[in-house]
Amino acid sequence: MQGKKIKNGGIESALGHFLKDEQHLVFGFEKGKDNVSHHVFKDSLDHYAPLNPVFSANGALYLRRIFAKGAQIVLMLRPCEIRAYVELVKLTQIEREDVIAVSVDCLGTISSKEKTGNAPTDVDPLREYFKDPEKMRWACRVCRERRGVVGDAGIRIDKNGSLWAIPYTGKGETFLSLLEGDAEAVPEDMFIVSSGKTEKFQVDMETFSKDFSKCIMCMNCRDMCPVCYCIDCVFKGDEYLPKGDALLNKIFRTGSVDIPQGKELFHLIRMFHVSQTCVGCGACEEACPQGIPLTQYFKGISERLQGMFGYMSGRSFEEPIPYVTFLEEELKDAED
Amino acid sequence: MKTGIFICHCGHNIKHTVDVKKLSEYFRHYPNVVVSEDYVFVCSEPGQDMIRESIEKEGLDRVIIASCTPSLHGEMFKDVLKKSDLNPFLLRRVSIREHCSWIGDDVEKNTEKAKRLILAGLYSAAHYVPLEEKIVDVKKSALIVGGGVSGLSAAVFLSRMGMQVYLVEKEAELGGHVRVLKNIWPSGRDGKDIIDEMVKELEGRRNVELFTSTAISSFEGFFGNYEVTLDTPVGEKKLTAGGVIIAIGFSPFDPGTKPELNYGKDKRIITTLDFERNADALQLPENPRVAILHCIGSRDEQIGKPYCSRVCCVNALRVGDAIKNRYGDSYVESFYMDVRAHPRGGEEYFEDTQEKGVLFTRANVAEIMPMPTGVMIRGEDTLFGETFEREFDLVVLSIGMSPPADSKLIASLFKVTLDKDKFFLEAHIKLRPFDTAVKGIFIAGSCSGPKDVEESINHGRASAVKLFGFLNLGYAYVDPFIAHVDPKRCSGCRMCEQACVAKAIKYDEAQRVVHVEDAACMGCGLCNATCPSSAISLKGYIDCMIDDEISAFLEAI
Repeated sequence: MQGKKIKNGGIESALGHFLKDEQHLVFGFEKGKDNVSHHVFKDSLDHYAPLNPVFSANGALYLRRIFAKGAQIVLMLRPCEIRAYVELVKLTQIEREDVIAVSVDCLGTISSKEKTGNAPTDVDPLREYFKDPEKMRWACRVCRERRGVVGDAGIRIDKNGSLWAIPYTGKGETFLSLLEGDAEAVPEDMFIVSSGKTEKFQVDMETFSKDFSKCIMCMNCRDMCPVCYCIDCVFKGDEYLPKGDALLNKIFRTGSVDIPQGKELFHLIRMFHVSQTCVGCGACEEACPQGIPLTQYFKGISERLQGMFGYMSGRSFEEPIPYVTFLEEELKDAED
Repeated sequence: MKTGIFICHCGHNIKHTVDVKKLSEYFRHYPNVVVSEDYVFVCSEPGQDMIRESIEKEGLDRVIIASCTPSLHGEMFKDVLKKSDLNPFLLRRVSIREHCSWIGDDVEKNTEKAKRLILAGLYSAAHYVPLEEKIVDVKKSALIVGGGVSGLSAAVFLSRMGMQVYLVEKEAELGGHVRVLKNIWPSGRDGKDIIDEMVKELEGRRNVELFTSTAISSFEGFFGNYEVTLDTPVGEKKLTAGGVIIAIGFSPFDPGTKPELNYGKDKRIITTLDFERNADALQLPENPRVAILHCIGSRDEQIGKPYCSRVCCVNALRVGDAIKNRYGDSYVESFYMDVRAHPRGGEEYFEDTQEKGVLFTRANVAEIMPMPTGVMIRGEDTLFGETFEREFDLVVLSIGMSPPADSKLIASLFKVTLDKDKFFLEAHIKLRPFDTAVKGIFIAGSCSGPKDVEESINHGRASAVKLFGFLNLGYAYVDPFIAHVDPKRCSGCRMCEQACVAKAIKYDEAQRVVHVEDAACMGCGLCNATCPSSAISLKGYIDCMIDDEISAFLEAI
């Protein structure tokens, strides 16, 4: 595989040059005073950080319904964010035409709820910091794909800590052409390797009920989920979560009810909706004020389900989502 | 809302296990119910009058009839509403006979269940809105796929009725398998004569177009106006057909898939079809020893063909009969599982063959081995429970019918379903045996399961009659139960587009939402279930209606 070895400050100068155009934008991370956070750069690339050790939200959330033609945008995001972007492209929620998606190797993240001040942002200190996987969020610790191998191009870290840019599509070649230097063979071994098989997730209804009993139906998990893309949710309105008069009517008809009602149903329906596109980023758990182990459930179930179809969300633009392909022969094993 | 509830006794059918008086009394005091009556036969003339009078006198806007299954008297009760100027889609039928009174004898439990069923109807009917049946123009033309005996007989009927007929056959010659049969049981007629007769009639008609060596390259559109593209030897041909009859026949079972039979490796091992074609050319000794094997490619779980092919027992009898007629002193032994000579006269024919001296041995044949002196059959006699080895001069395999080779291709082209054996599936095995699930597409002949010539002809004609009934008027009523997209809620993810079997969902590039083509929608509800934001609803079956109905069943449990 061919790619370019990135010189010190190479990304910054290339993207800075790219931003000279009025219509050009870069979506990546900015190193702020207290924190590293998502940032859309226009005109200049000040305080750009290729790596962000703190997970607050999945950046693909902000990309939903980008349809504008003309503005060129380069995404410099984590693999889980690029994978969510790929899924949204397949669901026609994003116009791919003007977006160059670059996935940057992820060394792991900590939760934004923790003390984030201590976390380093550069490659080498970060590698050192996350040597102990216990420091990572659970979602990152069990992540299947922290390699920058998705999207149009990837930024990979080799064993010595140098960065490499590798194109995967025609758009990726465009990105590569921004960088200085000549293309050369990319080293075989990279610092981050595929984690391979994960454990088969299984849970009984009792544990499920117990875990979700804390839910207050704030629906933050839905709002922060990058692939929960509906512009109008079924849970909006009185059908599932009656309030006020609708609630009283229901009580008069059916007798006394627990409040909030139907929280298990809410999560099960949401699980059904996102399980094929879920990238396991853990944004739902990050958003949950109640500390429900959502990642464990959503990631576990979606990986099992995607496994049945030999599918992995966000792996490629071409691979159709199993949910939208109806094949006569599929799921023979589920017949009995 | 003014709801009228009419509870039928159905003579004693409902009354004897459901306390109908208690029911009508209960619902009389229910909110929004103004009439609650029970009557001995609601479907009778006085019963209908009672409904009509109540509608007119009380100004009912919902009618609930708790009686037999909705599929019985459905149209009749709709007419009652129509005559009283009430939209027929404001009628709700509740089955308290098939679903309740016929099931158990416990009056108390049955009454409670009937109450729950009527309650569900009441909750659901509260969401009803008046709907209009739509009228669509239909083309009085039919596409018949397959020029075998059933396709031809369908074409003959439709052409006689003046319909435009397009008959498509992939082979160069019409007639299918029947053309090669020299002696069709029981009439003894030559298959070629039957075919030629039909083809001659079709060729002489102006309203018939026959396409041989032709494939169908695309099939689109909807009931009454299907757009078909044919790939003919003289180029592409586009046509519009109001309906379709699929009659692509069967494939003879290939005994080569069972290696233990050694078919194709020795010319003394032949099939019934080979025998039919070349009976005269067989070189047999003076008094030949002939074995006939039944159920080759039928009733065989191991090769995935558990069904009975229905025609092969008679075929086997015919072989035995023919050999006995030709060689008086021959030794003919039939190895069978059961003899199912089911067509009319078949059982008598079986007796006759036995009298002529054909031996019948109930056996499982394990292996056929060609030897220099003859063909050895090894198997187990299942009546005596002992194994045997016998040598014959000729072995005839009575092969069954396999689904047509193109069945998957044709099924996906026309979006119709196959059954587990890969034959075409009818919409209902008893009530709609000629229809597929897609409106205006019918099946005929052995592509829907093994059939003999007589049955195939009948099946073809019956499908033709049904199709004629659909298209004859030049217009047709379409159910108002179609999907509807709320553009405000649609996210434009196009999930539904893939789910739609009728291809009725179209994506609007500019608005980034989908919409439903009314005429094409079959009202199956797949899109409704697929849509994650419930932006699609099915008219007449909206979500909150079904939610309420379910909650009526579950309430107070």
